Amino acid sequence: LVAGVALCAAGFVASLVTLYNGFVTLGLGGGTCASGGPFVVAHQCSSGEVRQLLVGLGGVWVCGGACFTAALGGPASAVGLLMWVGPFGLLGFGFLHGSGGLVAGIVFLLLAAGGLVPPLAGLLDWLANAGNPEPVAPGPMIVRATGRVPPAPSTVTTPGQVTNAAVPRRIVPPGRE
Amino acid sequence: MSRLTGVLWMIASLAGAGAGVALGSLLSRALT
Repeated sequence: LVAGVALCAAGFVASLVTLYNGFVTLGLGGGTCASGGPFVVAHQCSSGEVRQLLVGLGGVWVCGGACFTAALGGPASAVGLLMWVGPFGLLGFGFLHGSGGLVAGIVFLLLAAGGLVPPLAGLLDWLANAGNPEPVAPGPMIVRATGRVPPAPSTVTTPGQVTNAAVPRRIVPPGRE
Repeated sequence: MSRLTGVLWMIASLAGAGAGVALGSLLSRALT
């Protein structure tokens, strides 16, 4: 199990690095992956960059899925959050560093920061409790079920007919009385 | 998860991540 964790973490990070390298190389070169239309792309992206992007992206999904599955019995939520924060943060940094996409970079970094909110909130809770474990049960029980249900009040509508007031015997729609 | 398993998990994932950085640079070089 531990070897599997190391293996999938290595695969996930390697895919992230590959994705980042492809992304930044493409951005720094000013390349664009597009063709056709009335405009001609000045710096067409190379096939190596496309390979890096595709392998990186596929690897992030495959290795991330493997890591998440391996973590299902344990820290699955933490692994899931790392898988969220890693790609978004790295691509946000890549936007700022490589292709000059300021708005996209900030948006991606904000998205990555969103994945950090739950663990930070947990940390703040933990600090507020001064590190003490949270109480599991809120003290002794005050109200306890007896197992007996009191009967509902009954009314006598017609002579000889006893009707439970809570449950009408016949539903009469309005206007049909 | 016991404390020992958690520590092993953390060490393994950090080691894997470190190896992943080196592996990733090799992979990107191989793909270009």
